[in-house]
Amino acid sequence: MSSRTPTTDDIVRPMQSTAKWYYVVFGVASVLALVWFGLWSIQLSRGLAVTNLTDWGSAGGVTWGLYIGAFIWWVGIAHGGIILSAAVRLFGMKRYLPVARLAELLTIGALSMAGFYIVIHVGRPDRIVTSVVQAYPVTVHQSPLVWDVTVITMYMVMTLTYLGLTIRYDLARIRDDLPNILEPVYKIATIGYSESEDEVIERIVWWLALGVIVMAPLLLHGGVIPWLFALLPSMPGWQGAIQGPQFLTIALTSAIAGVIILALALRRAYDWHHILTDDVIRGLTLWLGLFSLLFLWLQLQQVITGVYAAPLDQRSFAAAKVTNPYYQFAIGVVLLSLAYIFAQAVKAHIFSPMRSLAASLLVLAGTLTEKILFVFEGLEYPTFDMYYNTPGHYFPSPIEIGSLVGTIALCTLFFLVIVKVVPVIELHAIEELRGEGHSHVEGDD
Amino acid sequence: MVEFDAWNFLYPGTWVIFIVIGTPVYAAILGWFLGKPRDMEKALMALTYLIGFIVSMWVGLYVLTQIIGLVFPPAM
Repeated sequence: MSSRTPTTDDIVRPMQSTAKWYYVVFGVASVLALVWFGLWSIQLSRGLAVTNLTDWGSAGGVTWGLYIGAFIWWVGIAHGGIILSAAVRLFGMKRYLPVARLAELLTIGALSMAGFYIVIHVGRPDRIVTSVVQAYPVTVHQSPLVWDVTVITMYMVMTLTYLGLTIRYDLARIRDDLPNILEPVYKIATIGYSESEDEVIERIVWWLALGVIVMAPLLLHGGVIPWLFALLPSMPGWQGAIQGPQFLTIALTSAIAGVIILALALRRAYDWHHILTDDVIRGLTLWLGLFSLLFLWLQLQQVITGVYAAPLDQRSFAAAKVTNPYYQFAIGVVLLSLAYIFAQAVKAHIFSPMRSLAASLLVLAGTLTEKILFVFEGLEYPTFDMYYNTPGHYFPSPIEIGSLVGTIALCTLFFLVIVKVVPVIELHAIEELRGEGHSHVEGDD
Repeated sequence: MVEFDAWNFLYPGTWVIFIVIGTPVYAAILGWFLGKPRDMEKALMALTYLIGFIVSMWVGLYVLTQIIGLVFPPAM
């Protein structure tokens, strides 16, 4: 661990200077996003026919594929924010305080990308809001899709409120070091602020964290999202109570991997080795290992119950799943990452930030692959196969694959902009590292 | 034997959303107003944030999708 003492200057540095790498990354991400907008405009002009999602019969009857798989993946990544913030605020795990806000911002960026995927997936985006809002009083009582919209909206606004309230403390104290051009934004964000509110706001965000820690993992990614699939009895690959826990473990795995990648990228970019220390990265790596293990364990449950004396429809789905090379890749890379995490837990010298970065990237590739396979294989292997005589197989079109590059580029741009607007490391984290303590983190892990 | 069917008196979404999923949200909001230290002004401010973000999110989405509709009008 570095012996440098963290200062306020450290957290405002991204807003005060711009390095050459920033322009390069910004340029590359902008080009990739523009390429994606070009591809999407083809889809908007010609309809979903340009994807492989409309070929009933010739694509194996798949109308949900990469777009929905990637939607679930992004919602999963979004879980990192609340896990870490809640760990700090509710359970006193102050070790993770330096990455708490980064993780909250990842929630906003990743959830926005998930929402964007819904806009991408509909043939007429201009009808989304009116059709959802007008029909809401009727559909909310019966449609899991509308439950999904409701809970994602609540998760997003609760996270935004959480951020909006906690950032007042920081902005009020470091306002003089922030860019003058954004003064009106900071004025609105700190409206009515006085130091006497700190204790009350801490309590308000504590309640908010409590609400979100129950709602997001248990009722969103372990609830309404898997229920979109698990409630359909005609799709053996989707149906069943195991989907809730399975979705949740994949979400937690992706989330921690996302936070590790983000923390390491910013640590390198802004020389934050003394704030986002190896100790923090190693702690996150161990959490990644635990969630990866749970993910693999639940996969094993599904494979065993699918291949051993299972009903015919389940057996057919399970055979297709385990023999698919992409599935073997997904499980293989998570196993490989787990092997590294286990090894570095046993022998500390095996740990390195770059290896943890590689493990996180592999895990994200694995979870994305698994989620896309889950969505389209579930449709390709129904209980009653209507397309048996018109065989076909779904594979994402270039436009669908381009959406992955586009959303990753957009999320990168979001972070490049946000580091210039607000401090992405809480002032509390600096105070804590300097031993000045803070009331909301009373214990330690 | 009388068969129990929740659909006869309450649709699943009604209690799943407004009771089960709503509970953590209600608990957080009640905590703001009834928990200690108590400050009604700050609790109202937090509620304004929450409602403001819901409105801005959906209005923003509406504007974005209307622009998409104008730039890419549906084929007749």
